[in-house]
Amino acid sequence: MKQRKYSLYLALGLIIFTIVIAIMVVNLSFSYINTKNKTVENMKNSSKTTILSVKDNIENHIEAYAVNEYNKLIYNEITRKDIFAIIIDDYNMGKILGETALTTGKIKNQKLEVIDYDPTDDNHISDLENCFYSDTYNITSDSGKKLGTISIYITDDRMKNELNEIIVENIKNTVILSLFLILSLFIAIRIFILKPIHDIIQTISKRDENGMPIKHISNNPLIEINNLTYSINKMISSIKKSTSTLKNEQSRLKYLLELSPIAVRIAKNKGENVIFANKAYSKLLHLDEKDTIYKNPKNYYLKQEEYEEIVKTLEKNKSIYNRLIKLNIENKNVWALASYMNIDFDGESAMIGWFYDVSNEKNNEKKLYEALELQTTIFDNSGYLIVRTDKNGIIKQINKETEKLLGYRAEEIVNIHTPEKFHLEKEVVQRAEEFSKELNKEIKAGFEVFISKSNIGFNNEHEWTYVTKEGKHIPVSLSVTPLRDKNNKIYGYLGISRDITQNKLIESQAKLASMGEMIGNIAHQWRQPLSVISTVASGTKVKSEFNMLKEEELLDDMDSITLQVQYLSKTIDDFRDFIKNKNDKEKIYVSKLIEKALSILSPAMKNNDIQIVQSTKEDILIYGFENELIQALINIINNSKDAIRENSEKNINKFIFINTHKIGNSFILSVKDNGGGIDKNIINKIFDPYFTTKHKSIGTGIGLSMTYQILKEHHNATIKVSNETFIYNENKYTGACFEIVFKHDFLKI
Amino acid sequence: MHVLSQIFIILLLISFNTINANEITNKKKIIYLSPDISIPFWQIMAKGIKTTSNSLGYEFEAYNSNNSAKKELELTVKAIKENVSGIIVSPSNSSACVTILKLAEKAGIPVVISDIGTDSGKYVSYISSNNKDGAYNIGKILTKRMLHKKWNNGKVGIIAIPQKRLNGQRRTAGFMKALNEENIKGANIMQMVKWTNKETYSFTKQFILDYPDLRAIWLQTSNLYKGALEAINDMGKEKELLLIAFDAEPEFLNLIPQGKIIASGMQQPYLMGVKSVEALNSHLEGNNVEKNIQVPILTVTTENIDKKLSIINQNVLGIE
Repeated sequence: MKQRKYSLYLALGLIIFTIVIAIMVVNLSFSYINTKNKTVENMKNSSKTTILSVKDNIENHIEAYAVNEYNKLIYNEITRKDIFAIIIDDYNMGKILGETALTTGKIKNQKLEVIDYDPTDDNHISDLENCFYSDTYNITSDSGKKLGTISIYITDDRMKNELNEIIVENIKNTVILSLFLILSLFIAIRIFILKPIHDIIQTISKRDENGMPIKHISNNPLIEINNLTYSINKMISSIKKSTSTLKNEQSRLKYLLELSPIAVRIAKNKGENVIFANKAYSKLLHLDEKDTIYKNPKNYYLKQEEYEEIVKTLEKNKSIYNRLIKLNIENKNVWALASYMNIDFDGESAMIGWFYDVSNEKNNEKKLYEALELQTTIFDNSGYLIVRTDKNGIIKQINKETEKLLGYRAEEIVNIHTPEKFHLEKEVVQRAEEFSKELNKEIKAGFEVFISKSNIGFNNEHEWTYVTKEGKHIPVSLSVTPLRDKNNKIYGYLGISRDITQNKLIESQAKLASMGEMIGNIAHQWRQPLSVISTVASGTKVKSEFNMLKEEELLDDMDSITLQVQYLSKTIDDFRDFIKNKNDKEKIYVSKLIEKALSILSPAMKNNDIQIVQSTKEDILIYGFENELIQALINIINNSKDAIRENSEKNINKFIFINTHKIGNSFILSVKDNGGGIDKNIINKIFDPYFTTKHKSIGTGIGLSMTYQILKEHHNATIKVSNETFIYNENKYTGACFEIVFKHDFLKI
Repeated sequence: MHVLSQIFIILLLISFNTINANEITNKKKIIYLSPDISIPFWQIMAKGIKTTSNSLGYEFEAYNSNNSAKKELELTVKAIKENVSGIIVSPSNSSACVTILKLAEKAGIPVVISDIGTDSGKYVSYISSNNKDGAYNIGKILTKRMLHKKWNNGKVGIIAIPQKRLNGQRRTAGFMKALNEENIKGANIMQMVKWTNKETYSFTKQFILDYPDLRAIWLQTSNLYKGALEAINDMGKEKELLLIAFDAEPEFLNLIPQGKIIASGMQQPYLMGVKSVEALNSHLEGNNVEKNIQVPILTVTTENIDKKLSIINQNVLGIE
């Protein structure tokens, strides 16, 4: 809407005129009231004075019966003064006339002529009644005799006239004063304000290409105008400086906008026509920069009504921040975080939009969600019992498998108990003693037992016994891992365990199988000495029956039998030692383990014509369960024996190579055969429980799995298998090679 | 019988009407209201009024207010209540006459004013002496005598009737006009208040003492001349002072010829009374009456007194 403009003259003139009028109205009102009051008072005083002045004369005239004289007196008073009427009741004359009084007096007619008062004239009576003011005084003689009364009547005509005159006079004064003031002011304004302002306007009208005045405004002798010119000059300088800065800023801003990784575009015409877009915007839309201008952004929205809603919001002068929008760019959905607001661009209203492509973030978010879903699924459905604690052992989370196996609901133990709640107490005490010895520091029987190894980076996977809510004992294999924050500081622990009841069963089955094999070996080993004993004994008997037995021969035979029995006894000891379940770890040389294993397996090797090629000069003292390690070696060597027996041809040599050597801080024990190697398809599964390639009569499928468990879980060692082709005695062979690596922590030589 | 009764009633009614007519005719009465009937001037005027009224068939009665305003008004009211045909009034003063006129007007009684006028009011006619001309004439007589005696620079003292009265004002005006015409200066005017010879004596003596160049004294009235003459005599100024008067006293008929009083402007009260009645009667008869009727003043000097003696006797002194 165009603003109406007013002349300064007119505006000031009106203001002055209004102010003068207002002052005059107040003054007039005051004067009017004051004059009115004063006039009324004067009238009263005047009337009183008049009456008092004439009363004595009238008194004399009444006493002298000079009616005409006092009438002349009254006439004079009325003529000279602003009195409407003076009426006298003359009691003396009344007596003469036989009445109460003679009523005479003077009154003014409509022409203000003084005429005789006629008490019988209704007009006269009415005029008196309508008088503004009247008063009556008694006229008494010197002796106190009442001679009559004198009444004075005054109209407000004079007062009205006076007041009218005041009003007229004031109005006249007001107009004159207003005109004088306006004229004076106009002249003053013209000389002292408008002329300097005109000069200022003339000066600032001459502008450069930026619209800035070329020259500064000259000084003016008037302080206020000079202050104005000073301020304008200062402002011009400031604006010039600001303009320069602004230009630079705009240039920088445009540069920044152009280079901004955030897409920016400005649209006019209710957001339908893009007039500015930076490179990031072009990139976002997969367009050339020139193709983004003068386009309707709505077309790029997956839902065009969403943009229409955004425009409506902006039209209500509201801004939108960080709204997630979906764009359709080349038929692909692009997610962007968008903000919009109204701006003034080149003097026109426009809508600016910022767009940050968050498609990657959205995809990552999706992946993260899926990962979390997977994690949760694994957490709950892994088949493992998973328990998370804080660094003090308080349980923070358990999975469904744990709830299911232990019989506790999460709310019964989370944030309440430590894992001791479901551990077998005496086992915890026993392990505390063991770990104290092993780590050579005191481990208290409590949560510390579960984490002490983890804290120092040791493998911490052990078999434990859980006690369910119902009191049932369940063997588990528990691995405890510390949880660390960014600063590698432990904030909690994760215990992953699995129910190994089945494993234990298989283990015992495997043990039984080993025992059967062992008994076969014993039988095989015993066959030779028993045959010797039997032969010696039967020879001795024959010789004795034929009395051919000589004492020296008998002693030799007895020695031979004793020697064989000692061999048998040793065999029994070896068997017993192997069968004996040793629960305590002990220090043992690897070479000793190899020796004992081969001692047990030597009959089987001979039976199968397998030659053991041993190169075990390198040795190491380790801390472990001897029988478990022997069992592990037996399992590996048996596996090689079985492979050789199945795959090797009859005529070729059969070898099992056993080597030990150190590499750095590792000690490697390898068992290699020439059995042709393991099928590539199954080589990665051979350590899995129940996996076997053998006939059921031969293997249970538990051997290599148990080996893996014994080495990895009980002795912090690793085992891996690979197929190797090698040359031995100038012959090329292929076979499986098992490598057992004892880590340096266990190197105790 | 019946016819006789009717004739009787008719005769009775006629006789009543006749009685009423007589009564109305009897009511034709003129009242003369005089300020002081003891004064010869008013007596002579009353005589003229009475003679003329009677000759015209009016009853006449003179009321004497005795210079009392109250009495004057009471008599006016009395006359009004009597419902007289008309009133001829010589008011105590022109102001009092206004009230008399108002009362009479209210009652519908015509009034003729004789000699002393009125300040205002309605009246039939005002019969007055031509005081101004009369005073002028005797003033001329005086100045002529003074110039003759070469008393051009002599002054003239005036013992005046109240100047409030119209006749007093006119007398003074006429007299002063005559003095001015001859450039004779007046000494002072002393108004009579007490109306006594003692007062006249006192005033005269005072003039003589105050004004060494005093050459004449004018008495605006006639009856108190004695005081003036005595003072002149007592002061030994018979040869140096001229006495001039107004109106007449029977003694003047001797004093003027003797030169003790050199002249007097004599009103004609009898004639004024006659003129008053004639005017009132003319009004009552429904004729238009001249509003102001001025009766000339006789200028009587030592030289002409003999010639005017018969007029003086009737019109001035009332000797029928």
